[in-house]
Amino acid sequence: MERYILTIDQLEELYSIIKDEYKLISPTLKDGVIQYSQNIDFKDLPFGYTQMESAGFYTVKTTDDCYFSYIRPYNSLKQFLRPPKVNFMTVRRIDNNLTFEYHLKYEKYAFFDVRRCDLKALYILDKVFIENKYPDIQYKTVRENMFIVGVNCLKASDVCFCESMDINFEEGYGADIFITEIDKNFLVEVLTEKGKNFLNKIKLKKQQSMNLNKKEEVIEKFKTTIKKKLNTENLKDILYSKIDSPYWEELGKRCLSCTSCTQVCPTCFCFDIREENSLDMKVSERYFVWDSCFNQTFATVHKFNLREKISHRYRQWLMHKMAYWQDQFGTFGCIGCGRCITWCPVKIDIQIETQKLRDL
Amino acid sequence: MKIGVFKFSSCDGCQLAFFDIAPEIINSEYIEISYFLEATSFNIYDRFDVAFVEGSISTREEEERIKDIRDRSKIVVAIGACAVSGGIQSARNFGNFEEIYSFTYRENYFKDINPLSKPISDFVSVDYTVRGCPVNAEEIIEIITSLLLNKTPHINESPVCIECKRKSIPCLLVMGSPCLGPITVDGCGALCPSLNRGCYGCFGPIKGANFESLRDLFKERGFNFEELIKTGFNAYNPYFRGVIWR
Amino acid sequence: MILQNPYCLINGKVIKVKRENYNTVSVWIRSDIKPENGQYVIFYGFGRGEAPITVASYNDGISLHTIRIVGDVTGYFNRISEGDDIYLRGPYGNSWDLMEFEGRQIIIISGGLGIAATRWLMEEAIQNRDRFKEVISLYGVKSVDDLLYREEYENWSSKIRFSVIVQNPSEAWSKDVGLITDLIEKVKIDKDCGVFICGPDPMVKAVVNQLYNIGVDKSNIKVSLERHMKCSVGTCGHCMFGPFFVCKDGPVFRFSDIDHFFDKKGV
Repeated sequence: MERYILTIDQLEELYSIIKDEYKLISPTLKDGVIQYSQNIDFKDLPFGYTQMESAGFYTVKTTDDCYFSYIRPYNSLKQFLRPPKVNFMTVRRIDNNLTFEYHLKYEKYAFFDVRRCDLKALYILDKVFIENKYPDIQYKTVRENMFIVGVNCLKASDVCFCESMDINFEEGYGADIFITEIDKNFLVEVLTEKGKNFLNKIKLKKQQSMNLNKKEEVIEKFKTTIKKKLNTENLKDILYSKIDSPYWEELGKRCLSCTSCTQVCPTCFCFDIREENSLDMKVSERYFVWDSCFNQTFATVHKFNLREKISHRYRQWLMHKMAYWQDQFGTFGCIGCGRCITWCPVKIDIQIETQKLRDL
Repeated sequence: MKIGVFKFSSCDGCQLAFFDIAPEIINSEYIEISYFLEATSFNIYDRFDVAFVEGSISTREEEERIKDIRDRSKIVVAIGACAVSGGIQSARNFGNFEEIYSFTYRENYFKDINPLSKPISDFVSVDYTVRGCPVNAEEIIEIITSLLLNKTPHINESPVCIECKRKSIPCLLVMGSPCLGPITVDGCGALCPSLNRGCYGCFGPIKGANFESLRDLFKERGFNFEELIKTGFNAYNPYFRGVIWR
Repeated sequence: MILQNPYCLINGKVIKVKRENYNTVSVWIRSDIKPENGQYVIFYGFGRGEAPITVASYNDGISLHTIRIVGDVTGYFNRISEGDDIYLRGPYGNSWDLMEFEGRQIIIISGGLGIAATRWLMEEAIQNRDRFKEVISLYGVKSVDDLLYREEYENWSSKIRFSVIVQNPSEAWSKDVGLITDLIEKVKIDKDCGVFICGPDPMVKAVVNQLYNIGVDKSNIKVSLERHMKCSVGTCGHCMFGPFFVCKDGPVFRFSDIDHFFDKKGV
């Protein structure tokens, strides 16, 4: 593996050559939150900001310790890989014959500054959409044409618990290059050919002198800032034995069923298929639209909602993330990014609730 | 399909949705607008396949008229917060009627005005509701095309929160502002939150939403839950009655 | 490699339409789908969307589908007639495996529209009658009006033990009256029999309990479930039932696999 040391100016150069070639998505401070956005200038990256996040609470403040002082953004990559509303098909009716037009619109995306939790989320979504008997062509096409710059986190927030959810800090999770900020310089590890081509375009010295232990130190230091822990040992079987627990009712009383957790979750993939028809009844557009297991129409059979109570829906969500997912895809559906905790208006914390359920 | 568009106590704004889609309506061979006072001088008050009704029932005369429209129509669709919930004028339902009346009108200006402004569903059976203040044209299209196909229209039942997240709008409640998004039907495109203003519920409540939990949260934050609902044109919605108030 | 878009619809031709009762029709369709016994297909109706419909029988390029016209998509079948084009995709899901129980007693239990999912199974059992010790098929409906495939009963009865029970016969009905469980009581059931069930969830629950109490192993009971299947390829999440995607892990399940989740409300 090739390694380079970049200065902040060289990092900017790398950023702009990636931007020339791809539709670049990177974090920025917008509407008061750090979020992924398109076409962001290097100077508008949220360098020096850091989020204060806890259950149902979010604010940002500045710090001058380092550049990559923030954690993962508010939204996740699914916003781009599987957008909220996709027109996948147009049906036209001429007399009584139908013609079908299938759409495959995709962008050539590059993602700058993706944290390990979000990279793992892609690896999990791949199992849903690609490692399937019928792969999703839209997702697969975007996925195969994208470029990813991974970045190591320096400090966790109060909602982060990635370490508990089997994050492997040695693993690149499909990133093309991986950046570790070390004393205001940047160690760049090149993981793919695509990554190598970009680095060849800027004048660089191969890393020689830097002690690799420094990177390990950064990661170890980061790990010490993760305060949240979840005991996942035998979690699936324990949760399976708690399906009848009266505690779900307690959660049902608090949960607003507002769908926020599912929509900010980087791995929640459920969608609805909707039809929008023209008034002349000649054209019907078909859409994929983000859906949520908290919606009342989600689990209906002949218009009867099988998960009538909010407690049923919350249980479905937590059980899916922490238990069912393991039977379905061999991993947890949760990556410990803590978004659902921060953005739950009524402060339901999936880590605390899962721990409570296992201790019941 | 013979369509009638009717107005009761309301501002006429929801009817404008039909103007948004006027070319499509005119060009569709399946649709005939037979009664629509705001749009045409040629009106035939006969039988209707679908009656779109805007406005709340505020007077005796309106009570009779809505029943007559129901009798003449195969399908009745309530459009907008007034018809669905009673509208902004239902704010009087929560105060002293005599006081409000004498403050607003000169004596005997409206003789037969009812003390309560009510949704049309309090008087007749309603087949479908289109929420909003005002409604959006897409939902009117969905109702018409679904009826033409003889299928149930897709009517939003998910909360505004889902639209905020789709648009990456940060949650106002989390950021510290009062917002009724979690208990309010979506369809507005999260218009207010996108302008950094909390949802005040103009699309009205979701059936079976967890009002209690949101009320507790408002209380904890020092926001007035009941007041915000009362300013949202849907306070007298049947889903609120019996839960938040009688 | 060019990827096949899983949402591509193919064209089929309606060969025959038969009104079964007040709300149910059977349609025979010629298309390129090659279904296995127990699988389902997705039908598309213009402007309406898609609905999963089981394959009730299949022979030489022609599949039979029996549809209760209740939903928004199935409303389309109200107006369908011979020679019409129809659009579909599939087949999807897993299938029944009759031969797992070769040499043993076979019991097929259907409730209401559930017989659409067991009809082909019965036909296969009849064709291979000599490979099983006994074949019993029990069919329960609410009222006489609900009965499907009436013209087949005589044929089936001559080849296997086929009985029908009606819960509330309003009109003249000379045969059994009651619930499907009453019918099961009248049958001598081998403990090592193989059971195939399709019907409403409460019926499945009652029948499984009854068989379990007689001594039938839950791993020898197969059920076909109905959930809200939309994408049919295990990605939209609507049909999820416990850890299963009914659309691709099912619709046929070995009862012992789903036992833990089956009678839990809201799972």
